[in-house]
Amino acid sequence: MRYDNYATTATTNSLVLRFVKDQFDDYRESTIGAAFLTQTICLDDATTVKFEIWDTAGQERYKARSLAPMYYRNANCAVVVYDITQSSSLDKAKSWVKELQRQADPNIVIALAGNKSDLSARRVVETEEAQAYADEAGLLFFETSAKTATNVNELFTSIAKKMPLDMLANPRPRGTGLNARGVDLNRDTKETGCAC
Amino acid sequence: MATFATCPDLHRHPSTRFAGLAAISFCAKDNVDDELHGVPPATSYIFGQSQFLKSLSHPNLCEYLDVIKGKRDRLFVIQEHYNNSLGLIRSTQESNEKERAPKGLSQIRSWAAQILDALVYLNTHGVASRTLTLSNILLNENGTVKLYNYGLYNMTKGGSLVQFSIGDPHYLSPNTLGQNFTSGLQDYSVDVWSVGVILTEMFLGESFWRKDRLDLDELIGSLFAIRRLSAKSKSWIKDCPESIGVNSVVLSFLQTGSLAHQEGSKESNDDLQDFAKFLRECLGLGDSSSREAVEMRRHNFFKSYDQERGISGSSPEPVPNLWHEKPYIQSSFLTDYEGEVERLRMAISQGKALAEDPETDGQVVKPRDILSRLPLSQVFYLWKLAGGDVEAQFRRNGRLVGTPAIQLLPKVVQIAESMAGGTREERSSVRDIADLFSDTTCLLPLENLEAEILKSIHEPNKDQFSWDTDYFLFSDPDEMNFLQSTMEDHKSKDAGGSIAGGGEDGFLYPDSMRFTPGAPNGSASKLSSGLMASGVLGSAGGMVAGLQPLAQQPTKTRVKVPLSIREKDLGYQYQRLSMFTDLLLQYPASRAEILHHSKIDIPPLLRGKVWAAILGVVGDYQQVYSDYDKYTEKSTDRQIELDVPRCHQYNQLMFSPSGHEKMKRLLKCWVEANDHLVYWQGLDSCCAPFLTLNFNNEALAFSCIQKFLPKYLKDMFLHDNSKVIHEYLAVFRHLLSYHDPELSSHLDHIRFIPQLYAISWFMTLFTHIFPLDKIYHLWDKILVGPSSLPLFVGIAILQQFRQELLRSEFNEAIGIFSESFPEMDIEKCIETALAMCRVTPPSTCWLSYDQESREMRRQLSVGDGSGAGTGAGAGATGVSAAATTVTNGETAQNGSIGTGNGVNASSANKSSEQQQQQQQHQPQQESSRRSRDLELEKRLSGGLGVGLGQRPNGGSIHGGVLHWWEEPLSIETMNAELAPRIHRSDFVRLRQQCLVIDIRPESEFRNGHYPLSIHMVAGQLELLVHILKKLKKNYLVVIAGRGDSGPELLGINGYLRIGVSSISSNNSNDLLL
Repeated sequence: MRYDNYATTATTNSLVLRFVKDQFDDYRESTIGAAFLTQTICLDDATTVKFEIWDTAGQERYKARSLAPMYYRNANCAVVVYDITQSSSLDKAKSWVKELQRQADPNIVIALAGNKSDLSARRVVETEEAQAYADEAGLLFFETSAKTATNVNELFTSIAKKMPLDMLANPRPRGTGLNARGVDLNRDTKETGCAC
Repeated sequence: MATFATCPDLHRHPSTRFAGLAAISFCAKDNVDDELHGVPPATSYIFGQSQFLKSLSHPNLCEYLDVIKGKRDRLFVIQEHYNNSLGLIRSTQESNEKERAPKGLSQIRSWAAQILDALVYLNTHGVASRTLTLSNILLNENGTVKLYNYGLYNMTKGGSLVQFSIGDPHYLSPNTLGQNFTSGLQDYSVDVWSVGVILTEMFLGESFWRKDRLDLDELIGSLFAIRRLSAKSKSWIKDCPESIGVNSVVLSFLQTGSLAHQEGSKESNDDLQDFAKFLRECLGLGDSSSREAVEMRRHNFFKSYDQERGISGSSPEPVPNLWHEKPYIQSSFLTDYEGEVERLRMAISQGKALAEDPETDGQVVKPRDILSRLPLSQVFYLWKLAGGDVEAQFRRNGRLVGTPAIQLLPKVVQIAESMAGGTREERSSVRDIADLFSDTTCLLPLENLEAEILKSIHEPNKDQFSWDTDYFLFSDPDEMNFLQSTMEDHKSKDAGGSIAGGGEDGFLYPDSMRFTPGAPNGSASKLSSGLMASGVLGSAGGMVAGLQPLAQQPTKTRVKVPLSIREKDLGYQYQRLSMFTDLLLQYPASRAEILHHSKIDIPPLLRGKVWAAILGVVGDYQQVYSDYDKYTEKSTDRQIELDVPRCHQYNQLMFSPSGHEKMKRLLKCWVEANDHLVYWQGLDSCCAPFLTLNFNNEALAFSCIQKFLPKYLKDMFLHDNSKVIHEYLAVFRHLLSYHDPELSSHLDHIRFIPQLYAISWFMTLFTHIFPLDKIYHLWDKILVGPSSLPLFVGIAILQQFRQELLRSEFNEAIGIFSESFPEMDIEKCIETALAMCRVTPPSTCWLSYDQESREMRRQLSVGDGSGAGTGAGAGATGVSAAATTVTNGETAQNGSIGTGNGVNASSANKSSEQQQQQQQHQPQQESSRRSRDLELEKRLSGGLGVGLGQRPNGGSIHGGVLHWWEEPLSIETMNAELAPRIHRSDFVRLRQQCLVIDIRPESEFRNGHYPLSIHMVAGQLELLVHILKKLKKNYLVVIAGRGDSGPELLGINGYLRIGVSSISSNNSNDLLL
């Protein structure tokens, strides 16, 4: 079964990379178009969920309306990432959430992630503000740090839990394996990693 | 003006005739500091900065040739070198009483002038030497001064990046004491002090400091004392007490300007006074700006020197000839080598220095003579090819005796948590002594290289290195070769088009010299082998051979030597380098030859300029670049800042801070210069090859990019590029099913569409997925190929993973190409791509935004009507009339044509004049090939309108109005179809090798149809596939009605794609008919 979905930018890149490879790299080559990654997590003894993630390009342009839908069209979940050190990134994230809610699969699970929680000194987006928005729009919400790995696994685990796994479960014999296809729509154009 | 004629790296300055090569080596300091996190390692800073030094060129400077990073980040700096130096002269003076006589003042004056000239040049380029000592002032065989090792201070950021101090305190100005790193970088007056000390010592034959000041502590004390003194008094020299440590002989001369034994001296008193005054000014410590080299060079002391040379002010730089007058490759000096190898071997075995004496027997060619004509950078490059290894050379000379590695292990093993800090401290405390700097220079012996070169000249391996391995024209007589005609045409078109009109073209390609199919092959191959034999710098014969497009004969039997071997073969590279150097010097006149030879391969050392020449960069590119604003802040800056430090960082140049700076400037300049385009991520990767190849010449890199992007990535960087990308990918998909139906259908089946994996391939022309060394080779071919070549490279990439892909489901398939891109055999990939490109009708790769295609289409519509373009395009008159008739006659035939397994739509029909047409076929085939570019690529749909069914001489019908079949297909239509559409002009060329199936309604077929075409009902195709296969035609063209495009035919396509694969992939061998 597939969940797809989860979307991001430069931070998204690093968030996905942390999730999939448990790595953090300031100087990772940029993504053009989108990169495809997979990671499997165990929810419990009986259930494993395989995430198939499209990590979309960092640059805003690449999310041009004609390209992005290709990646989120069949996605089961989407992660929209903003940068807590940039207030404009939350606005962009909101517009992406809107687009996803309008265009994507109606059952899509959307998570909002405020990345760079390690840079609390430079924070401009308050947790409460984002939380309030997430509640209102019905999104999962986490503040994460790809650099320190804070909340990264939690984010994906709670997405997995929220997936309608029964619906998605593979009808074929091996019933325990699930695939989640995710789109990582990453929304903040933020300096990758450096900082601190 | 010849664009590259003044490039120092293509010239050998006469004063360097007997230059040797030498290297110094040191290690940069570790970045131990945690605060420095994020700051690039010192080694990489030095590596980047030293690239700039390579661009310096002055007759009184030793050239920097290369910087190599060795094991454990040890740096090796390779420079031009001479054995003689002021230091050597001094030490012979000291050891030999007879030589003791002080040097004459005119000699000193000449040295002083040359040293200052060199310094002035350095200062204007922002370099302060700081390392002037007797032993760093070398002299060539004519006694010309050559400063050596002058860049160490500059490349190490004022010494801040190394753990040793730079400069010999005996020659260092007191002002340098306590000076911080950054202010020192711009303090040019410091070098003038050193000049003063050096000249004093050379003139008097005495050391400047008293013997007891050899001790460093004492010396530093003296320097401080002098500084204190000069703060108090105007001239410290006058008031200098004995105790300060300056040699008393020196001091007395400086003070009085007279010598102790003046009677014996031949110098006039005035001269001596002048000199002493000059020295006093050099050694003064006052206002530093007045004591820079420029000022000092204007001193009275040099009046007589300058008068002698007839120059006023400082000497102008000698400018190399701006133009090599004769339009042929000069130098066929290698005529007679009989016995030369033997003599050389004997000379070597006897340990004689080779060709030390320039005067001996001018008739005999000595290896040093050959080398002495090559630019030094090439000499070093060849030295490495001949097996030279700088690091090994150091070891052989016992220069790198390091502490055994085991002793460098930390004595205390840290627990994991504190590991980061702990091990680093440990490492710095037990530092390998070999890491420190030693100013000993390690000579790089040239004997081996000389012997190897002679050998390669004497025994040119003709079988091994065939010059005719031309990828593009290589042709199997049984196969169609669409490149054969188009490539030639492009060549002439480009030469004529981009460089000042078509006149040049005629000059380079007089009609008589043009390749015509009937030309005797023997002569051309003889000429080309003559080029081999006469060798090296080529010859007039080589030139002629160069003008003849080679390989008109099937070259099937030739053994092709892999590029990797050719690039490492000394003899081959030597010849290629020499030839390309000469060609580049004559660029742009020589552009056509450069293009021709580049199709074989491009010598790596000259790649940057050769690419520029291929791209047609002309004019004052420096000025163009400097006119753009690269500094104003722009909205894209942030993205650029973000991307540059992630772009090809494994490459040392791209990783270095100067690399980052240059890249940012380039990108900003591009944004400024192209206001209709925007910066897309990926542009950085595209620019990287040009920057690394022209690291010291951003302007050239920029001009290359400006030429490159419009040709290969046109409109990819538009603000809204989705149309462009989607069309590109649609064509890619068509071509894939054309060449590999099985794979294509599998990929379609698993929904592995190009949009998901290939965007980064084509948007960056593969620079995003391959490392630079592979990109160089790939682009070598892409640059000289048609602009559709990248599409085929894409297919070739898929084909290298064909078996895996065929076994894969979506996830595995995408897994192959995401994350780290898999290892590829690039040469194989290029070959496959070219092979496909050769047999693919160009009209199937037509892209609506592509310039080349657009041009074709434009010419086509003009050409159809009037035939006028023919003569112009092909440069062959007499053909045009014939071509026109063919065109019209054939076009009269039929409507649009689908190709391959493909199908497509069209309606037109009504072939008239079949008889007539067939008569025309044979005789005109060859000639029509010549004029093909006129009618080539039109939009795939191109059938012929009814109106075109005119008589041969029917004349002009359309004047620029697009007919329905010329209009680009919509992307939706393209995506719906699986096979490419072919244009009639290609169809015409294919006709003997293709099977034509007509699926129009029978009534239309009856009405008129293509001769020998088979009529079928679309639904029957399926049943007849096996029969069709047996016909073993290379191509299958389906003619369909206008409305039959898209969905209706899809089913058939789907079937054909699988069933007729062997036919459509044109691998079947025998032609029937």
